[in-house]
Amino acid sequence: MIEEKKTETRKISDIAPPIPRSKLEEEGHSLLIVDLLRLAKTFSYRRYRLDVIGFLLAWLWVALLLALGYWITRIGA
Amino acid sequence: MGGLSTLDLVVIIAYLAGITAFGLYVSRRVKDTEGFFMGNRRFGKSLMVAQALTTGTRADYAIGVAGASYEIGMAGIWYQWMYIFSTPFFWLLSPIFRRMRYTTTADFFEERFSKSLGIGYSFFALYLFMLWQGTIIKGAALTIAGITGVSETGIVWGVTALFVLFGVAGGLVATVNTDFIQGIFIIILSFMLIPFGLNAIGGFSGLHARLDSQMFSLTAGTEELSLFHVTMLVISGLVGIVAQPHHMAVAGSGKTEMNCRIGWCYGNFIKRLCTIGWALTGLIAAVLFVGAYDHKSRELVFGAMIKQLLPPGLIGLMIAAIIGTVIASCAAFMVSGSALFTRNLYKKYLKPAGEDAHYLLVGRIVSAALTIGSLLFALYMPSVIQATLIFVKTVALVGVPMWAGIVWARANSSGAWASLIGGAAVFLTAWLLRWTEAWQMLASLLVSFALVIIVSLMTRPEPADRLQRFFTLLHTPVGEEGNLEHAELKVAAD
Repeated sequence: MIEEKKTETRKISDIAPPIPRSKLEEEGHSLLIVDLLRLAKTFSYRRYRLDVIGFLLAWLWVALLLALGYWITRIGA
Repeated sequence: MGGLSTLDLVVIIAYLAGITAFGLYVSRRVKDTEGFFMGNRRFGKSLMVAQALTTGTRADYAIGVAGASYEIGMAGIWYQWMYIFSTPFFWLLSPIFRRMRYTTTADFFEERFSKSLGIGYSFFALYLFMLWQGTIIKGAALTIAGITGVSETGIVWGVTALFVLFGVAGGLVATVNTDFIQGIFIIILSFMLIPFGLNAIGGFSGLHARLDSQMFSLTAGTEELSLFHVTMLVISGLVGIVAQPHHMAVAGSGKTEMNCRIGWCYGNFIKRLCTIGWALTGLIAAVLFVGAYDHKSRELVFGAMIKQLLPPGLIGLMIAAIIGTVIASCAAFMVSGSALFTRNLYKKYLKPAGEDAHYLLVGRIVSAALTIGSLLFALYMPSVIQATLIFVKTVALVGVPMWAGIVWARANSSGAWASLIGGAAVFLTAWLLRWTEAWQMLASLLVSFALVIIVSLMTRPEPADRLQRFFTLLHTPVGEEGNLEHAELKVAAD
């Protein structure tokens, strides 16, 4: 659970809160899903490096599993 | 007993005694609720992979897929592979769960939207726990009935009595810790059926010689699983994946974000690999038991395979592993459900200043109620696959406001409620009108997404400080907690 230390916090826009500066986010740890609706403005490979590489690799695994499933049904045919 | 050898009975008793002793030993290290639910967020990559694999791998999955593949062929794999296209998204979602730094998914709904949604989600989670317990008991009963010939209803009552007894005896918390071992056993023994089965039917060439070529098709073209149906299962699976109550722990208990990513994503890829084995087991069963089971009884084939193919000793080990999974999983769900109600609902909103003994009594009453509910599910649900479909469809509706809350800052509590109620109403109406399951899913999801957008835009946004709090967490990677203090936020243990 998250608690506030003080009742007063910074006021932000109702629709899109400003992104707090984060060194790690700027170096590749930004999250595609969280920024989905403003990717047109924020996207760069450097900023979303971990998400992009891992996501593409994961789809490669999906392709490999589908190929394995298909190959197993062909053995002995 | 029911055709079991003495060796099988000895193995069953020894296994159950062994896991209980191990569980009791391991559970001594669990000191508090954060440790119990989240492992103090200290898990490394390998443990995260193991956790994601074993918490999501149960005997009823193997039974459901093998049963479906027995009847409709390799396409039955989609009852579990519906999540294969969601799995890459686990890579993207797990750091979100980790950065939220919440203990339960109810915390998400309370912090991002409102208390009422937190309460609503807690009740939904209780329903899911009952559904899962019921499905697990049903799956175990079907398999053991297939092996021993004892009536399914009798086994449902028997295994329920067993896990409740374990709980009363104090072994309840202990067995939670043994899920890992049992998950591994289930996987090993699931694959163990394949060589025995192939040997019995003359290998893969024997399989092809005796089955229609359509049975080997992965492209679900059968009446039961059309391409449209599979597509909707995949979409519903992806939408609902975020809202499953145990995923906050499965995806968010790693020490680092990378541990969470690798654990959740690749633990599930291993499970997808296992699913190929379950489907292949179903195909072998289609040769071994031609016409022996119909649509209603097809889930008995997994147990029948064990009985026919495995030697004495291994049959007992398989039964012990299945019973062990029932005890561990149901005990865990019973504890989690009871704790969720007592701590997050009863203590928080109904009786904040009661004594421990009072909360313990409430917890026991809730445990009993959850057990009765799960028994009813187990006794009256038509099949494991039906239970899986009920789960996928209902959890997707809860996933809609969760996705909206993460992606869209303008989404608010009114929109979330409208989405839940409207989506459920459309789903029920479509069901009453006897639309196909795929159309039920499509209609209810479209209405849910439309309502969360329209109603949110028509009503006041969430307070700015609430949004600031939530999105600051999502934009603060693990390791930069100093930024949270700078933003005047602190993360409490519970």
